Amino acid sequence: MLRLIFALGCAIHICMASAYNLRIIFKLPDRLPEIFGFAYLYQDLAGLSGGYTFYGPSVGMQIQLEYIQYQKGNATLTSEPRIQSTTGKLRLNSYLQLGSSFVDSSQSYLQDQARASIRSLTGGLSEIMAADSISCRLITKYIPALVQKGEPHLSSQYIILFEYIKN
Amino acid sequence: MNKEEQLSADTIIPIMARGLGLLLAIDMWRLWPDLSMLFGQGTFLDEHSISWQQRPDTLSIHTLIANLPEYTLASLEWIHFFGLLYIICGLALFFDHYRSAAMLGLIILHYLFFIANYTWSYGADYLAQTGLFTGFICCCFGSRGLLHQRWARLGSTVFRLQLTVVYFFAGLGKAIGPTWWNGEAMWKALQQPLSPALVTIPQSAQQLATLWVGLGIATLLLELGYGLLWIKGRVRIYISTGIILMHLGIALTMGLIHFSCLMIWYNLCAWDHPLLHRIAKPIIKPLETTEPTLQVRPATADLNTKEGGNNKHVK
Repeated sequence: MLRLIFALGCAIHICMASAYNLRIIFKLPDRLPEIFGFAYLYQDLAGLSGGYTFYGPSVGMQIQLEYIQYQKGNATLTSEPRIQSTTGKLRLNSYLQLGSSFVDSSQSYLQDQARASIRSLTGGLSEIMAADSISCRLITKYIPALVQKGEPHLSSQYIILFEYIKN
Repeated sequence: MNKEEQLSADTIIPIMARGLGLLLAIDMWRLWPDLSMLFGQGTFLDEHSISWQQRPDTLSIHTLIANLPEYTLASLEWIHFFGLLYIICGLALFFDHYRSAAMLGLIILHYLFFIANYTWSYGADYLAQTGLFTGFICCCFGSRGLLHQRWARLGSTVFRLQLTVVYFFAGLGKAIGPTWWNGEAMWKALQQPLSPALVTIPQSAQQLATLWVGLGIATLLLELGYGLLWIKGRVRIYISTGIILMHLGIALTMGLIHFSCLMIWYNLCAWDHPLLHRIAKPIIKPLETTEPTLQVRPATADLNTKEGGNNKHVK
């Protein structure tokens, strides 16, 4: 009996993982009846809620933060000065990438949220750094398409997605 | 592979859990300098931005700390207490002390830190949660005396099945678009790593289009063909080695060291890769169950070993 329950639980687990990922891949609507609300908790506890479609179907834009400190001898900080560890920086980059999904037209509603986060980050920095004003830019690197032999080679360029200046 | 070097089914999950405990403890230790800024009382992101990525009706480390009285002890905050508890649980799991309690503690803390509120999470955190969950379920059955050889085999089968699902959907997600087939995605992924890479690919390598197409297709085939690992023999060793090399490449060129170590460890344990016995010999030996030995009566000097044996005495 216990073996049957275990096997049934495993089957449900695999079905849930498959359904969740199929929904992400084929962009299906996420509408579960109220009664299945516990399924979300289960997905979280079992680590299924992140989805497994890493870098699929294509690799998105990598978003970075850049601070420009305006005072005597302007300084540009290409990384977040308040985060010290490599793993902390990686987590911040992941957050910026997620928060900047607004560049995808289907998720433009995230734009306000991204702006609010940048304002919050810049506001916090201005409290601990002496500067007349601080500009925070959300930038991305434009990677040109692969070229065949003989074709002209284009170099990568940085694009400013959003800029916030704190006086 | 040498037969003596094969793992028995009931050691796969405990070994996986022990390695996972160590990897999670190391990652939390690396995150220690930023704990206060990211999760604690540091003023990095405002409450609104944090709560935006909070799962509804759940308790996260952010909400938990917000409800605790403000308390600092020599620049240590509540978050450091929870971080220390996380490291202790990880190390207890690694040293195999209080296995069930350590695993339960780690599941709860990992959920509070990275799952309930996913502001500072990325893919590796969900895969770690899956490993902890699988380990805990199998450990529960084991502690109730139910995890004999058949149960253990079922547990390791579930773990393998879980990995097959992970890789299959990772491959399917990539395969439905054109960019992994024409090398674009591979080139882009290498050119804009999420974390500083240990090996940087120069931009002049853009002209090696065939190489990037080949690597992109190889990644797709390895992920979609992951199910072939269920076939025993050389196929298993070749594919699992390919997957391990792929993760090694991810660690070196994309800087995702924790994620790669986690996936390499899962694959080494799940498919009993020969490399596992080289790097984890000390933790495998004590876990291996001793096979029942055949009891043979020792021969004595009195025993008549001539043809007919002891029949002579019977007469």
